[in-house]
Amino acid sequence: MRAKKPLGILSLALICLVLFGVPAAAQTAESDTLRIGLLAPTTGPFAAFGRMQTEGAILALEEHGYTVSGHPIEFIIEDTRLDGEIAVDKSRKLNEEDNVHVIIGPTSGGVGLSVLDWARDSGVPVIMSYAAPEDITMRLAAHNVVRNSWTGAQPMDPFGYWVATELGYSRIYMIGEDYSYPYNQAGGFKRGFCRGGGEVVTTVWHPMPTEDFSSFLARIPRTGYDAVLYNGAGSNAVAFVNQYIEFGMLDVHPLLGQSNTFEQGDLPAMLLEAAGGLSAIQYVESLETPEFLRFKEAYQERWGRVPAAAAEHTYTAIVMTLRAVEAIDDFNDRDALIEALRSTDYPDAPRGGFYLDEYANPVHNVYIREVREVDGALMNVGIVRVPEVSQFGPYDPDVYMAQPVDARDYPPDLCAEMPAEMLDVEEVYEFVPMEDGR
Amino acid sequence: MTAVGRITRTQYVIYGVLIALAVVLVSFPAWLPAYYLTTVTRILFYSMLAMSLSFLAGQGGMVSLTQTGLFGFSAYVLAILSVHYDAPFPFPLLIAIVGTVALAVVFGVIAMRTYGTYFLILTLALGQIVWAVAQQWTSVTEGFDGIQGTRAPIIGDLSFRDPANFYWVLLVVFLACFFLLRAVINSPFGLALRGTRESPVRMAALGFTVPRIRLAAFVIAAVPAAIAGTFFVQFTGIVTPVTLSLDRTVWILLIVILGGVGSLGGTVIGVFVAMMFEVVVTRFTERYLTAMGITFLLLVLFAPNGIMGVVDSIRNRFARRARAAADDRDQPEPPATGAQ
Repeated sequence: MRAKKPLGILSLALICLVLFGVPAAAQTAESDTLRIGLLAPTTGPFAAFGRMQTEGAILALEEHGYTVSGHPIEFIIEDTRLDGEIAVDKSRKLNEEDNVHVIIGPTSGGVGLSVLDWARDSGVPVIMSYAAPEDITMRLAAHNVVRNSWTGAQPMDPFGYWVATELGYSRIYMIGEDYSYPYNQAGGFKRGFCRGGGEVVTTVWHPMPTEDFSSFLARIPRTGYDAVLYNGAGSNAVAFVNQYIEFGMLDVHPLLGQSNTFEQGDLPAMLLEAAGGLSAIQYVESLETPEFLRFKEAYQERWGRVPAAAAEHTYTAIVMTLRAVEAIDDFNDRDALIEALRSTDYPDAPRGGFYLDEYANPVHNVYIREVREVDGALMNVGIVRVPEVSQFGPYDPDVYMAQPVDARDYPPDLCAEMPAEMLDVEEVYEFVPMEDGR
Repeated sequence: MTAVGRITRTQYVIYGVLIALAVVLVSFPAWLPAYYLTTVTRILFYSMLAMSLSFLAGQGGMVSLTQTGLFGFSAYVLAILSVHYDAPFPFPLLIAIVGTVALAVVFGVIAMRTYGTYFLILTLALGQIVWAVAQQWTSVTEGFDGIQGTRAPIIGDLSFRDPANFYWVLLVVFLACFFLLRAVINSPFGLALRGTRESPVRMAALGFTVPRIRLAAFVIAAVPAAIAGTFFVQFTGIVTPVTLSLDRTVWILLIVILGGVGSLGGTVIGVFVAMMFEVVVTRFTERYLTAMGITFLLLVLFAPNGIMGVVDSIRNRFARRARAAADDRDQPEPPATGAQ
């Protein structure tokens, strides 16, 4: 009897395969339907981001009645669970089984890099709508991968420059999460800060996740620094900011944040004393341009909450796709679709107009924002708008990409050790004070 | 019915099924839709990882939570050598497998003198060490983001990046691992290993060096895990700390329990069911993990021996019925000896 066991098992497996496999294989793709896939972490620790991404995309599709140029649109959502391998598998599924024309993309940096690696070989057009590693549109750029969001350094370079020149700070103490996105944020900040005349950005990294920051807070020198910058987000940021306040550190050094430290979704969990915190990103909820107000009201009506950057970025990714499809004859022509996506110019985007640079990363406004208490609740209010910020800041792309990738220990903490070509450039930023929310 | 005739007929059936099965397995790339070939490929390399745990847990009573660590270590070594150092094929592959087996020797020596829960906890710690190194030694492992860009080799005109070629190589290696592990289980060594599972003290009294037997089993089990890791990284192109996280470890453990601990075939079915379950259920709901959890709960409540336990009990019932029928027909003949 024992010898027969594996045969029975394997035949059972075979029967199951036929049962499962054949119905699925019978599905055929309609050639006149535009198919769009969304990779989002709809379960797990980043599920809130996944939900916002899904909502933004669905809003855009509903506004277009799920049609484009008379063709119906099919929208397929796949859960990445914030795992690169799952994301690659789901990308394969979207391509090989659903035959999608475009994949709109993953949330976190590592997952973004994984999908980029897959996309390079498969050739499927991908819009990175929330993954921020700069090399996706720099040193590792693939022709079929475009981005409509940002790179880690992009908002921090003008922010660092502004902190040095406008606030007059010259010494910053930075505590950050120990992984690549904060490295890139720190890199952008240091470059801008040093160009603006700063002297030192002392950098300390903490493991992910950290709940108790008392040992880090105790190590912050009481004198010799102008401000503390917390380079982290999510539950870490809530814990850090609240403990910073409770330790009375606000009386010692003012607090700055990275792009996502004061996310709208996290502000309700922070103490009201967090008001005054400064940060910079390409999005601010207080914007009062007609494009943003229309988007915000439509989103609130549909989903009952204020849209965050993650929602706007998938919304605009869908609109970009539909405009690209309208601009070409046949969306089954992949090369034409990629070219149309790469030449995106989107002047009426809710966050403010943007266009893609030659590496297919947006050039757009960066907003410097201050946390304020409005009607008893905290919210971000834009105070300065920096128009047309590129992923390369003021640098020539070739000079920028010849530098090492931002890492734990690069760029150096001391501005005096910064390479000369990173300090000696013509400044391009214009800091426009925001009045009436614009 | 003579005894000779019965064996011959059974052999015919066996050979027929074997040939049909071989034809179907080998011909998958020709007719299976692309994504299903992807899924079968994943089933094969995850099966090798699951078999590694199933062998240790079922034969040696060693529920090891280090196997995904070894799997991930192998994937990392291959990725680091081929992406960061551009080492030519086959060096990254060989170094990855040999290195993982060497690591298994070290881990095995540390873990061998513990049993049961202590073994579980110790191997959990060892697996978490590999994970922590992958996560935090950022200059080598690129930390949280992991390493992208590993590809299967191209040898001459033969590209193993082609899904069909990749699948065929994997299939051969998988079958080799499957039957070699079976041979180990059925060998005197396998018997000795089961002896250490049942009663280490008695085995020692009989003159066996129990830690050495368990260490050998641990090292043998590392081989399919290491090979699976190399296929994994060359197929997905990436390896991140998530690959060897505790979540993945528990997932593999659940699959082994689902399939039935100790049965290699059951383990393969467990992986197959879990993967297909995922592919099918995610079509209807994103709550895949909830559905999986409920299924697992029901399984543990009603079929604690896993899928293979159900299969065995059905087969035993048929065997009993056949035996009863034979007894009715021909009272004097003793019951068939082959039936369990």
